[in-house]
Amino acid sequence: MKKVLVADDEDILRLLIVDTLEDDFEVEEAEDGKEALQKIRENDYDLIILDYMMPHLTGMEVLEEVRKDQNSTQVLMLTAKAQDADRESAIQKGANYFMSKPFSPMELLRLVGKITAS
Amino acid sequence: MVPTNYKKMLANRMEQDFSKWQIQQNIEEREVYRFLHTLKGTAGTIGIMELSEFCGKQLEFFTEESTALLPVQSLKPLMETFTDFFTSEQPIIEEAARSSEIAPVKESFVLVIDADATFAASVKDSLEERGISVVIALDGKKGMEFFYTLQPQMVLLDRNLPDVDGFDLVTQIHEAAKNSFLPIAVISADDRIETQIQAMELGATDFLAKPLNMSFFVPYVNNRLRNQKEISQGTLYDELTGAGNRKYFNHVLLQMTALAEKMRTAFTLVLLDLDHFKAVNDNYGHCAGDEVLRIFSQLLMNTKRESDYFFRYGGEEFALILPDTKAQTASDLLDRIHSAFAETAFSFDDSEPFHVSFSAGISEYRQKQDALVSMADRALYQAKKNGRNQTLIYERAQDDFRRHLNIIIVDDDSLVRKLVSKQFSGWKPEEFDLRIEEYADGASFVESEWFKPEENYMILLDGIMPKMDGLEVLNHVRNHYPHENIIISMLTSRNSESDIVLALKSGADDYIVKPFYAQEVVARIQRLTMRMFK
Repeated sequence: MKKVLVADDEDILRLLIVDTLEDDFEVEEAEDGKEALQKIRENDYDLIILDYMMPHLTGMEVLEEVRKDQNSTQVLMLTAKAQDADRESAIQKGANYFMSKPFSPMELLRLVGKITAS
Repeated sequence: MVPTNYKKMLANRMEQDFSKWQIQQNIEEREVYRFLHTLKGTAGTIGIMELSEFCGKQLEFFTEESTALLPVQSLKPLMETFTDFFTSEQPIIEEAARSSEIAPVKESFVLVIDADATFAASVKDSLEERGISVVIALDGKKGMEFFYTLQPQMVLLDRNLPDVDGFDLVTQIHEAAKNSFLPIAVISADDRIETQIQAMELGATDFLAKPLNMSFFVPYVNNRLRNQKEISQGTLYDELTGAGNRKYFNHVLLQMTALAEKMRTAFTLVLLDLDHFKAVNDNYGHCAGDEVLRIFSQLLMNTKRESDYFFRYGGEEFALILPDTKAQTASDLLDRIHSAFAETAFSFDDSEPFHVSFSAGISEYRQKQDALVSMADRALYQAKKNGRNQTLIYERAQDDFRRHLNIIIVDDDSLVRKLVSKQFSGWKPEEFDLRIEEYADGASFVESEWFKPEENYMILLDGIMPKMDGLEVLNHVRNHYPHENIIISMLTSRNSESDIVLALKSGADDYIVKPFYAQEVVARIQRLTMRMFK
């Protein structure tokens, strides 16, 4: 089973994402950027889902740190502001996919399925 | 348990945030910004689009990085607006939560009877966005059927109906729901004052002119539902029969259980159900049906001992709670009632006199036994299976006999099938053994041997499928199988009103618009099935 990390400080949303994905993926959670980074360094994930705005370390900062270590893991950013400027700098920093909030859980499941299949 | 209720979680957290705000005098602007920002994303994702959009608009008034202090007092109106978003999601009262096994499904249904499907669909759309469930009937006959089976908390109807005069329905519904203060709104393009006066005289509570102003309509419905809820929670007796109502039943049952546990006494519960009651309604009309319910209740109230409690449990189902009574004593009492009722002959509009019988199930309280209702229900079910018109005492061996509820999902989208069946898999109803079946297309469903006459079915049918589309499947099922055990809900895409009309006219009971949120669909289906198969 493919392994996915969900990092979002908004617990209701995180729970919804876990509920949506847990049938098909091994899902782990992180409540903030710091915990996310620690888990990423200790585990081998197929996909990391990062919220853009998180306390301690933002999604962008986590992304930057991850890419210093490795380029292999796919990263999906959850952005609340679907602004192109943000996306562009995230792409430059090594993000692979985006989904803007609010999103439909079905859409997310489809996208995650597609990403991990490739 | 029930699927995760994200909405409730969100409402709770919001209340927590607000109570934190209220003990402060001022709040930093950026904190309000963050609150709105988070709420926008979460609300939208869990399916409350309107709230999400509202947050989006409010965000324009606040600055992201500002540390300016805002007085909390000035945010009061905003906070109240948010709280209002969740008021249709009334918290389940504590009493019901403790006895979840017997708790009736409490949320509201609004019944819309209107031949104009486009209009009805738009009403359904805007109310369901606010968490108010709507069921549509396109003609008077279906409307009355829903009125009796679903027992809605509000009725909206147009005068112009294809089969009957809508005003006749107002009279009938008003008569049946007399004194329960059911809101009945007539909605009509004909807004002459004479029409309005007539509607009021017949018992309508409101008159609304078409086209509706939606910004008024939604708060209006909320207002009426709130009143209705307050009134119905204030009463303990069923208006039609004078028996205790379900709320009173729950209360007495809890009280008796507590007493029995403390005093080590016994008591007995009896569930009674009129046999073939649907046939009475079908053959003699719903007014005759009501009369049968009244006379039956009268008989019970005259026969029972003073210390016994008698309730209308719902529809044609009744309950007795007999303090200090063993099951066998209860059974003797029931025998007397069986023979007295057998001597009661009914006749309506000069019809041939006819008789009605009932079946009953008895369960006796013993120490620490919380499934009393479901045991009586199983005994009742067994009595029905044995040929009706009899009373049985629950015995453990009867555990083999359980009612079956089959949820069938026919959809070519495997994701939809998976999400819906996953949400259902956590549901463990006391009353039913649940089985979930999935079919990837209409043809394979129709060709399978899915039907057993003794069981109940809830079919979720996708409108557009390869090989055989949903409408064909719908027609097939309605033409080849009995109606009463099968509820059909169509999954349709937004803006396909002609599909909706066709589906409802072809015998669908309900429809759900795609894309949907699995947990909401499941909650809706649970309520529909619990009401229609009770």
